[in-house]
Amino acid sequence: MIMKGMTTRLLCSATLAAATLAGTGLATSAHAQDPYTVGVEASFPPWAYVESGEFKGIAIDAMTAIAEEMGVEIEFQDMPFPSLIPALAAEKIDILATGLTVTEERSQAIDFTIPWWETNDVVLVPEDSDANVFTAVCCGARIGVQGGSSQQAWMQENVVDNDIDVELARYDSYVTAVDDMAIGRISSVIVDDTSAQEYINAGKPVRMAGKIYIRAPLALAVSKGDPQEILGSLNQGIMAIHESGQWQQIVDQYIPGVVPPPIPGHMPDFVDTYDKPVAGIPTLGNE
Amino acid sequence: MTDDLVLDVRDVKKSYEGLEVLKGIGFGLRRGETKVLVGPSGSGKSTLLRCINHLTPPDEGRIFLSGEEVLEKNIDAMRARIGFVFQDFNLFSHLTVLDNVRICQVKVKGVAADVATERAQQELERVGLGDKASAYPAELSGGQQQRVSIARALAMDPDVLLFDEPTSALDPELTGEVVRVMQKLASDGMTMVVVTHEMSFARQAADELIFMENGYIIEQGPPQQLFSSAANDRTRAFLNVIAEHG
Amino acid sequence: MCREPDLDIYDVLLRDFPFLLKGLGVAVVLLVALLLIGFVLGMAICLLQLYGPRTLLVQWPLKVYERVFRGVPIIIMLFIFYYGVSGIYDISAFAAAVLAMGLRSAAYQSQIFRSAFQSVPAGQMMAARAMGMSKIKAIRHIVFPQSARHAIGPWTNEFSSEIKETSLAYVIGVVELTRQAHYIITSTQGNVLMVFAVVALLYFVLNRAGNSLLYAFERKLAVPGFEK
Repeated sequence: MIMKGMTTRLLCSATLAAATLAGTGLATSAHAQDPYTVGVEASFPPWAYVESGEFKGIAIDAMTAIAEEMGVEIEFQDMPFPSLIPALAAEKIDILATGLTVTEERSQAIDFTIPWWETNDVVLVPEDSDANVFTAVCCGARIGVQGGSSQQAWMQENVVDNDIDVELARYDSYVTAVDDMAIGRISSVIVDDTSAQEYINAGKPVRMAGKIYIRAPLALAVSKGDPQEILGSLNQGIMAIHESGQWQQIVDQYIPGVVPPPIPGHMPDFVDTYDKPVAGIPTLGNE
Repeated sequence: MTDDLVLDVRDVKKSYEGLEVLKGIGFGLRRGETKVLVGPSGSGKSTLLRCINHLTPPDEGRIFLSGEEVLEKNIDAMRARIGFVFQDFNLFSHLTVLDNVRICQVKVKGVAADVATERAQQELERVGLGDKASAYPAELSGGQQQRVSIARALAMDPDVLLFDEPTSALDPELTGEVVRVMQKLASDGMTMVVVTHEMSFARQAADELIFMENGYIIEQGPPQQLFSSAANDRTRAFLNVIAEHG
Repeated sequence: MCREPDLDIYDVLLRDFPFLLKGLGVAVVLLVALLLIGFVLGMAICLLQLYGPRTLLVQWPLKVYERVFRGVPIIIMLFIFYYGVSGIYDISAFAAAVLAMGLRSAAYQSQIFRSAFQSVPAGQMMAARAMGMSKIKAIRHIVFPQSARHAIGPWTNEFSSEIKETSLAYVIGVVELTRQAHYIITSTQGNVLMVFAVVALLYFVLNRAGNSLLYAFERKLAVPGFEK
């Protein structure tokens, strides 16, 4: 039985390798008649990740549902997080769908959809640590954040720049940061609450020392100026899956028991696409 | 008048960075003749030899091979007809002895592979190395390598063969085998110009000795005459010194 | 479908091994393509530098090219080729990676070839020319075969270092072996050591296989007097 399974797997590998050789075309394009390219950071569970070669996660499933609502084809393109916004700005991808926090700086480079989630940050410490949210973020602590993330920006602005004696360690991914904390290289990790819950659910030896209520909205994004003219239908799609209950189902599947924040969430004033009228949903928006 | 000359060198001049090495050299060579160029080092013998096949293109003067002028534009065809034997052999080190003798027949003259092989084997026999065909240059002694390089030149069926101090890089006990091959070629009627300090070769094989100094030909004539009664003091002095050492 | 926290890492590795192999496949195609570009272009640069016109107009740009591609970190080059070139031509991430890494390899390979050509004694070229070979024939039949023997050792080093560099292509979204490993790590919330050990083994096997081929080629070309 085991041997048979192995053989099948090996055969499968060979076929996949061959398919890869055939499938590495030279030019891709992101134009209207082709499927829209949706950029994701696929090492960011529960929002987007890859399991057994398939894209999975809240952002993946929700984006697929939204595309169905819109009646368009999409394909996912994985990129490291720091590359996603440049790729969107350079129109290498059409839509950015990851756990992307809305910030003022980003809103100048890309256009956000209405917020579909709200996160707060969590201070993770090792299970056996007795630090609380204050002692974990002071006094020479080495704190892990993902490079280019909103947590890094927040910590820099509110902690490091206020002369609080901490050192930020930037990581490629939060998983590495959490593992580094387990072996004592850093003393805490600042991460969004949904990811933190994931790590705890997965049995990582960590606990939440406390929450930082930043009420950061998360949204999808398109290139600045919406060259593909899809912002309106994306907004409508988000509302539609929210109203149909699909959104609740998807979220529940990945983070059981969590009640998703209302849609649309808090829309910060500094985002120009949140000025009235919002694309696709003209009744909404800030005055 | 030039028609019966295999090699006709006229008034060749060559300077290096303002220093005139050849100051107007001329000589001719009939079919079957062997001429030996002698003179102190720095006298321009090697430069003259290299000017003939444009390894060092002359600044002035003209060179004719069997009535045809050697020019930049026909140089590859001309070189194929001018055999050149280097002081340090320069055998192609990645090729076997046989391939060394074959390759230019095939790649330059377009000779068929089997014909070239046969010819190469013949020339190797001629220099006494028929049994070394499959060896690589690094496996041969200096004397053997030089004989292969002579065979390589001969296989091209050249009008004339130029030797640039062919024994100078050899241990003294190895010069004999090379000199004997050259003597045999001379007596077989090969047309040759030889730069050498081997006075025994000059005495026995040369039809004419050319004595050069400071970029000029000082004196030329049959070896016996120059050795016994050179007209020029410098020639006499040089040949005496050489004869003592040689 | 929900994730399966009950699977242990060995099961996951076994189940996802085909995807690691797929990533290895992408890495190999990238490697072969970049080495090929590097070879052709590197050889052309080397030949122009050694035998081309000596005018500044030709030599200077070659020198600048070599300096720039050897002096700029490959990640920067990847970004420049992916995002920078997109204004002119809509280039895919894979093509951008092949170009950026291939052009850089050309700079390195041109150096390998140049020093290999220069280690062929000048007398070899001179003898070939004296026999009536044109410059091109002399390079092709005499100098090139000899320099190939000098180049093969350093070229094997270049091969090995480029294998490792392919893992950097993920920064512009090329899903090669290292990226596939990241997927497994993030979807299983960790196991960095175990997953990367398997990946390291795959890179190692690829490297050994390539080196063995190159050594076999070296032995095939071996000629007495060329041992170093």
